[in-house]
Amino acid sequence: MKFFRPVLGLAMTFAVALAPAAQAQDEVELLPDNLLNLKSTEMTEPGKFKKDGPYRIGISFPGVGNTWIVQMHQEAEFEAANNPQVKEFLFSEANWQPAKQVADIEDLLTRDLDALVVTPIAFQLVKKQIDAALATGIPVITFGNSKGALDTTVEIMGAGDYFGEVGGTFLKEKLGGKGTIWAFRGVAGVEEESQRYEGFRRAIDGTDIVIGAEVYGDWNYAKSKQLCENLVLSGQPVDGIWFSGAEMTRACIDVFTSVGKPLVPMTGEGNNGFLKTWKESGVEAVSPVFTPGLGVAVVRAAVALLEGKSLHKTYFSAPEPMTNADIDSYYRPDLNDAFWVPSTLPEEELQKLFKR
Amino acid sequence: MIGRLFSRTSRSGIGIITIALPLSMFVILSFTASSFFTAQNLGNVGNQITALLIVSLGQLIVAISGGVDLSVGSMLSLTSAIIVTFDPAIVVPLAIAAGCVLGTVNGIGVAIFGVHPLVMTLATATFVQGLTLLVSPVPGGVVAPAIEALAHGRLFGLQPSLFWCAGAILLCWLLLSRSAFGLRLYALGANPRNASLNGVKVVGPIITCYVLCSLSAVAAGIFLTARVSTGDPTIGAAFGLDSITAIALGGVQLSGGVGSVPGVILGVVTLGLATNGMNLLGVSPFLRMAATGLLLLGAVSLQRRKTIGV
Repeated sequence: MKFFRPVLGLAMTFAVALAPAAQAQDEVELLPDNLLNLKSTEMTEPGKFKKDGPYRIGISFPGVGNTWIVQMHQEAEFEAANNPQVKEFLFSEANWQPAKQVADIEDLLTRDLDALVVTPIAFQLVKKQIDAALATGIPVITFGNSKGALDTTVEIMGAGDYFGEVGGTFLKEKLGGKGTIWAFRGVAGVEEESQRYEGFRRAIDGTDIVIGAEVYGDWNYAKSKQLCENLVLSGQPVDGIWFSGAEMTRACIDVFTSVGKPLVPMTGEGNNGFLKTWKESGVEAVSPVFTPGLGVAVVRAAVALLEGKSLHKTYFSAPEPMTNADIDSYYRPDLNDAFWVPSTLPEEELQKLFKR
Repeated sequence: MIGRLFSRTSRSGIGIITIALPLSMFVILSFTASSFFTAQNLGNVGNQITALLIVSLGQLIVAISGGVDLSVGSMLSLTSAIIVTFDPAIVVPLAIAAGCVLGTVNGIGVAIFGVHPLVMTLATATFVQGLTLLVSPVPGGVVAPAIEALAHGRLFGLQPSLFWCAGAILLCWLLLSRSAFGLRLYALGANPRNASLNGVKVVGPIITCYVLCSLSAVAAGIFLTARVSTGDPTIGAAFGLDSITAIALGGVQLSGGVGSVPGVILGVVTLGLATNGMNLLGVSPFLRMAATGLLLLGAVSLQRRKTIGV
């Protein structure tokens, strides 16, 4: 299993144990085990945050600038609306402005919350506000991988390092350990982005692969298309491209196709638009799975803590990536390009929100 | 005094809308958001608008001269990066020196080489943002306790942000309303040619405006970094446009010659209340940006454009 090593490396990094054997009998399922597959052995204290429902849950998110975030928000809203234990679900977004995220958390804390969920733009940045929230006695869930920077009640996230490492390992194998790679990064200064990039760099360390160009596409189709056009037209050599997100991969495949340049191995993500392009273009690719269902997991975690249940301290999502052989089992031709897999939404809701 | 403020020949730019907007928002939020009129929330709003107020006052000085400074956000971010990267003993002088250099470059570009302020400051903003990411590529770092104390704790039982606001307001008001420099600036902004023909020097005051504006970004950067207790290379990204939005809401005319400190305070409070109110009311994140845009469009459209000195 070629992707086992990165998973194992990540598991060791966080000092966690692969879960099933250690699971308690009354394990709370936040998402199916194959999606939240890395869990710490350390558990939260049962009953510590127990109180009568229904609850008011607040979430501070960095911004809503791409389709993954929009779907994650829709899935979390759907879960909250259909959970009788949630009376109010307050979602604030900081438009990627660090100072606004600090203000958002302060504002949320005046709303008499029962639980707070924070996806920090940067972990150190919101530490004071999170400490203040914890001091009031409410559970705080980090929707991110703080690597010890925050001491919140629970942490839940896709494993950023693993995401980057899957792509890096794929390119290393495809290129036979030598060649020139372009790296398309996300939004500069965002922790999740840095972790993905670190994972990628770690995978190609010690090889003869060089990074010929490194740009920030902001996880955005339009910006990445411009950047890729510039790189292609500049005639720079390229043997493979690593992407921090699939909106950027889709943009680059479109550029290569429009100028008639042969496609090189690329890394993607579980986005339906990318899957469609992947299938049609036949590009050799790998796609780490980053489910928007993580938004549902944080809502379920908040409710579980308030109901007095015990959770693992950390949950990370590092499922097996998709390869060319898996496209048909994930691709949904009846849904539009903004749809991300795998989703927790029922079929009826998917048809309502994403019908092509 | 009040009559003079609203008169057709007033250079304050303050109109009915400038005052009515924050006032009505305050009243509406007091009734609709149960947690709005609490000491904790009002204290939060005070803390949240301080950095924007300081930068907007700097932007006001440039706007009165007929210019605009888009590089304030990058300067604020650079200050944050400097504070967590270098020896605590030199970070404040270093940030001030960087602010002086940036302001001088902007001023020389605009006043001597005749580059349009938008182009000049956009270019320097891009350069400084890149430099900031080189100094500190990712968020983090430790803020020296002496600097952290500038935004935390209590002085005479009051939040430090109040003293920052009061200091910035007082300095700006003295400069614009009680000094010859301020008088010259209004004349230059209203009609630079007329002012020049009447013996008002152009180059020096314009360069000074940009230096003061950059220094306001340095001050805001120090406060903001102290407030969040860590550095962030993108912390100021939104301040360029936000400060222009705030002064526009405050009746400042971007073509120059019209604007006042009270107007900027009202503009900043309007923006602060809008953000706070939408958080408290749980407005959908997708509606927020549209609502803020509509607010600006409405406020600016309803303000009459003034022509001074014609």
